[in-house]
Amino acid sequence: MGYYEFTITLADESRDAVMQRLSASGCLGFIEYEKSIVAYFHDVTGINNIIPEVVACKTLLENDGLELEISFDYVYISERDWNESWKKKFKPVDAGERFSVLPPWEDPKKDRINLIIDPGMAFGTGHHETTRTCLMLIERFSRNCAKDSFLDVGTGTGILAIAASRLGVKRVAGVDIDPNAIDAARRNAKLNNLDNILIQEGTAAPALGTFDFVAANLMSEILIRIAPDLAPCLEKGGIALLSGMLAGQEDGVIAAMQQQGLEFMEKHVDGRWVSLVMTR
Amino acid sequence: MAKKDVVAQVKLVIPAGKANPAPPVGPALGPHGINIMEFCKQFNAQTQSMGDTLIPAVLSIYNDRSFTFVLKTPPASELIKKASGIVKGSGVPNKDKVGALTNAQVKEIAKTKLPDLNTTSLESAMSTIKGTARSMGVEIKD
Repeated sequence: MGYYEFTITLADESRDAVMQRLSASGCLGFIEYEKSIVAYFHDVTGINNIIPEVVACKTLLENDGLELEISFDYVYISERDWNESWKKKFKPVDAGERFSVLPPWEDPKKDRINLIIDPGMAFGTGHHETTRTCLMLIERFSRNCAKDSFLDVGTGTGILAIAASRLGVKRVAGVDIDPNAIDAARRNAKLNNLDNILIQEGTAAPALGTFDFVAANLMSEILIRIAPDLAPCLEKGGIALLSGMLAGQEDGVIAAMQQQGLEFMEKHVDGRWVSLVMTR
Repeated sequence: MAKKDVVAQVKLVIPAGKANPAPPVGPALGPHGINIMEFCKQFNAQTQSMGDTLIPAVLSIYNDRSFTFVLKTPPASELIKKASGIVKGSGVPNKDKVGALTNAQVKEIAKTKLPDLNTTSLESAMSTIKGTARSMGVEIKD
């Protein structure tokens, strides 16, 4: 799979109209420069469909004094790991009392639980506040409860599922709707020599069974949307760890989960980010 | 502590709540060595409730590969689409009219856009909005 990258030179005042038009024609988004915009399309859109849309922008501007001069060229670019440059400088990071998150090319740390993560194009490297809070809370709650089963909804790199498995949780599952995340999570489970983690494409669903611990580090709107499917996955007395929301967004998530029978336990704030602990 | 210098500014325009490491985010930010996934998570958390609107984000990238960003107001065309209830502008705006706006709606859009326009005059902002609306096949009615 790849993309078409169109560089379109046009006047400043014409940008809004052109971006609107191309966005409605399947454009994924834009980078703006001083004298041009760069527009990206999936190659499945088909170059024979894209070019007429770009050409049609000229017609669009024939009105109300908008500058008509517009020119473009395009290149094909293949799918790649755009995060490569950052990954090269991915430094180990400590989380909780015992975890260290590190890339495969770094030496494991002594006296720490090492989580080896090759981030690829998926969320969860331990550098984000919410991932670190989740790791800290998984560590804390796994001491007293939630030892038998763990579900990670929106698993990304698989980091939370891997952490649970490394703490001795027997049955671990991670789900994600992003195929890139599924590849990354499976690869990372292997890098950590863990074979008790089931990684599968999808979201929270009662068909997955019930778990002592359910973690979901997503966005508030998604957490609210999936509450009816997530709540039934939690065993009575189990722990739900809900993260990824900005301060001020947590009330809606708490209300949605309470409607599904969960009870609020704790709120943790790190910077602008909030994590919630709830139970059934 | 060493002073952080801005080494680059990047302006992205992407649908609210849908940033991911694919283009345009990946090729825009990847070469600067910043954590693309972290930008996506922040952008999505802040814009998730804005529907399918295109949102401009201006990133400042520092010499330690950290970044900050500010969100700008949506393009006028997005606000026009929403206010007039249309999904797409007209391909032939001179002939095919696809929607209409009242002057009051134009005024509201102009107020929203004013902070990001090169003018402080509401009247002049309204003229710009009217121009963009007509270029989309959206008529102005009173």
